[in-house]
Amino acid sequence: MANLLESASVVLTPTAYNNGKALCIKPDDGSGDFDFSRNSAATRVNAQGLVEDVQILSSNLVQNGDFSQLGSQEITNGNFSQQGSQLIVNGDFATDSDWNLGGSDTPIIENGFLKFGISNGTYSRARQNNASIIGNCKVTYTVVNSSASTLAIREYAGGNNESVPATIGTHTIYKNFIANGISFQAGGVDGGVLEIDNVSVVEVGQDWTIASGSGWSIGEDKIIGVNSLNFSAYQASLVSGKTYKITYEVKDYVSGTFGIRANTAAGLTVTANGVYTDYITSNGNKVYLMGFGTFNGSVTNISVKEVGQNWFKDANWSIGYNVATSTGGGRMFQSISALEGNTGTKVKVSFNITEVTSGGVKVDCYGAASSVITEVGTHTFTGTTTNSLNLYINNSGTGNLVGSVTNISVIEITNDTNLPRINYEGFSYQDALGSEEITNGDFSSGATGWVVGTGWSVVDGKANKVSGTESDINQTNGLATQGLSYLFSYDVNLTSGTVQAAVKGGSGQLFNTVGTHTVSEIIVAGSGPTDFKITAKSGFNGSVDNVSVKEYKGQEVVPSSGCGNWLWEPQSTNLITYSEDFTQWDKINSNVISINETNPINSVAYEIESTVSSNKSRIYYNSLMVSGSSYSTSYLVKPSSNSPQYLGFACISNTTPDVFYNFSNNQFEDNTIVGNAAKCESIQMLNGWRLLKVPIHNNVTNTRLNIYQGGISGGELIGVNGQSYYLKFAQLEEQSYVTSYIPTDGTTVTRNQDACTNGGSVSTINSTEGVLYAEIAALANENVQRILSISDGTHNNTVKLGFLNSATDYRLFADIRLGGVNQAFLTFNFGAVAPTFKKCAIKYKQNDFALWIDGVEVATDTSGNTFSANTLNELTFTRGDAAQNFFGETKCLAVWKEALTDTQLAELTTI
Amino acid sequence: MMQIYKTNFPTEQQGKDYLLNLGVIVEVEGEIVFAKNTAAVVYIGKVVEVPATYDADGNILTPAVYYDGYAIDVMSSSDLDFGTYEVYPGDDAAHSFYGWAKSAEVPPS
Repeated sequence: MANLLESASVVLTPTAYNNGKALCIKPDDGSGDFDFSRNSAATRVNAQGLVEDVQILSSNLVQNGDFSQLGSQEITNGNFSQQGSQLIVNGDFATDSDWNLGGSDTPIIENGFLKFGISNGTYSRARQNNASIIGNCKVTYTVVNSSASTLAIREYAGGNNESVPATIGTHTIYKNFIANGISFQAGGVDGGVLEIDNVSVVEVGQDWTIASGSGWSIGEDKIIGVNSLNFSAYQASLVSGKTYKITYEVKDYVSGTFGIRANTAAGLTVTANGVYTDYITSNGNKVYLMGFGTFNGSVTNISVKEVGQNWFKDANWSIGYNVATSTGGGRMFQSISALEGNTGTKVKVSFNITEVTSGGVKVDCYGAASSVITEVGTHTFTGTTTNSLNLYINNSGTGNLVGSVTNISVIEITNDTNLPRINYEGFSYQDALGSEEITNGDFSSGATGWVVGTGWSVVDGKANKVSGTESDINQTNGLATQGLSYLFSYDVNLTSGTVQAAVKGGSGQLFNTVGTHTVSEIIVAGSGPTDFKITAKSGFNGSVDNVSVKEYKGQEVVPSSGCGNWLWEPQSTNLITYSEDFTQWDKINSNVISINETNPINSVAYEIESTVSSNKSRIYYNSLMVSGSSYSTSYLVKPSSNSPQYLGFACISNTTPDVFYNFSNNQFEDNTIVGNAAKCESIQMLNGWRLLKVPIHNNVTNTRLNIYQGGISGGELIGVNGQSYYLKFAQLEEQSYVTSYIPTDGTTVTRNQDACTNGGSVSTINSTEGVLYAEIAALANENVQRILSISDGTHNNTVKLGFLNSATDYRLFADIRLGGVNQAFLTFNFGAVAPTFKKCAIKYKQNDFALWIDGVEVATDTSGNTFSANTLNELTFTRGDAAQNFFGETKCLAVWKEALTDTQLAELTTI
Repeated sequence: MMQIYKTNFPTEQQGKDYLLNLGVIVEVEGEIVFAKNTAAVVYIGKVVEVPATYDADGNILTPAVYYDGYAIDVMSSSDLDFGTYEVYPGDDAAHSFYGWAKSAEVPPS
């Protein structure tokens, strides 16, 4: 095939185009390029599986338009778990060195232990003077033998004396050393024994500045407040004027008030255990922990990240919880470099007003401005930029919003209306995942990183649990975010009982299948304090291993899995005047609720919820359908978590669906007419959405397009209260098949027909013999001919290849006309099947004509004339003149200037 | 340069005849096709003046009221004279072409 294409004189594949041109691979000097016109916009499915306007030149030009962007972590050691290097030398007393031994009853180092001699009224001490032992440190030691009553730790040269346990066992002490070094000092009754081993001192609380006597001290992975003070525990890492998302966890709460301040800018004050989120615009560089002199409890997992990047805002604007909130006058703006100095740029601007108490929003994008909009919801306008200023939200005292706005988007649109479409289909999809959130998920490092609950044990690289008290293993590392989805997977070997995963209290399935399984599920994070956990119910006996949690970002197209082809469509009009705003539709026993989901087409989605049981639930659109005519409809739909089993689409009748769509198997089912379902199509799109093509509304008797939901009962759909589905767009066309989506917003809208003509040239086409090859698919079986040809610009001298007229069958044909007289008319009928791509070639030569399809010579004619030299001079997607345009899909079109052999034609057309 | 003409004829047939006479559409071997300079012809038909009203069950209470005539939109690169049949709905247009403003139409002369 590749070698054959090298010998072709014209090759057109879906690879390159300009406004008004479809560009050929061969010849490469432009002499064979096609003229293309449509004179309107159109949509396509791009290589990423997104439905987009071909005129759209850019992605969203607004940075951080949904205010969700988080900066890097401004706090270090926010969970107070950081530990420094070992500051004690010879802590295991392996040698009799490094320790300064003294006191009235000097201790000795012997047999790997530090042994104090204890007498009444005297003291015995062992100490090291390391200059690094100062400030907050974690001290551990093991008492191996003891009858002493007292043991104390203090600084090397004395000072802050602190009594510590002298009982047998390993002890951990957090101490704030106010001077260098450490000293162990024992005392007690005569004849007492105290032997210790494995002394360790490491620095903790790094990066925090904690004032002595402030009531703040470091504990095990937390900072502890005891009547703690304000402005005395802090880090200096903020920038004045910036807004930060601050999260923290309060634990061990006893009494008092706690809060975090961005310098002196106020935020929440809290009085209970819990995980808290705050947004504060800082007025200085310090993050202060505030105890108000009353707080008794502990705090950990402190995170501070910048939000609101890229926006400049007046003081009345604040940013948090993924919205920008205004309290009245004042503006917010950002600069978009692509629009600087490019006045006259056509832009599509959209924004979502989430709350209005008073006033409204006026968006001014470099002079392309909306009116002041006061309604909650998503709003879109197109305009042309007229200045080089900024993207403003409520500039110059307009709007005066008291409320919130988000999802601000600006997309550049070209004015070019003659852009051919390369449309992609046949995608494979995969989950789009974030990085791993779990450390030591395979338990190869024992229980490191895990909080292991009662009854759990980590042995042999897995976490085991026997029945008893319900408990969990968990990791709380500050990485889970409320509202985000996570793919939580783990292996479970279950003997009995039930196990369940959760993310911040958002629960996964209750799993109780005996045996070894991999549980993998998507969990939406709730608001609980524990990030990731697996809970063993009381009866659980088994083990867990290979725990993995990654943020689930939806689906993405497997790279290069889709196949692109030229899409040539007829003129069509979407007769629905509000194809994306279903609040404009009428509804019966239904709620229509806006939701925020931008894939696979950047428009608002709606949740359509039934408000009734035992009755019909529907939304409908009163169109201008003409009684007796035939229509096709298409929809982008997705089931909700509480979805009806069926949708029903009714046009022929107002009350009875013409066909049912079953969410449980993504199949259509007949209702009013046997055979309807077979004509419909359900195509998988991104993120669970499906494009439904419903071309079966023939001889309608009403003017309504109805969408019912519910369960089937006697040929009708009956709603179930609370069930819902999602709907993104709808299209109604007066023709026998569905074409590409045409958005509407207040009027019916027409996409013009695609016209691709005037390719090739007399130098690339041989009139006396040759081959015309195309890999093509019809859009549907219909009763018109759709033809591409080599011709002299008329229908008199032409080599035609295309689809024969049939409303039921898929028929291909070739026709050679010389002087208006047929020389060969070759056809092949695939029968009543849906169109698919076919590799077709027509060989024309004096008394030698053959039609090849998919590697088979399907028809021949051995009698007929061809054209005199230089008669044919044009390759076009019509029959030669302006009639019978080729409407279909094309993967390849090629011309040879000589008649190929049967072997070559078989190779060329073989699938 | 493409221009958009909005027209309203007494009947559909009168509109089609006018377009044929004007050369907006042509007959080729019995098939009506666009002329070379014609990008689109959209047979809109009746245009609603006052929408119908319905009860809570969706039953019609008052039927829609339609403007007189039959509307046809034409996009062409030719200068066309539709005489008194040309209309200028501006932003009140019932139909538009994808990628063009709702009010994109040849202005009154």
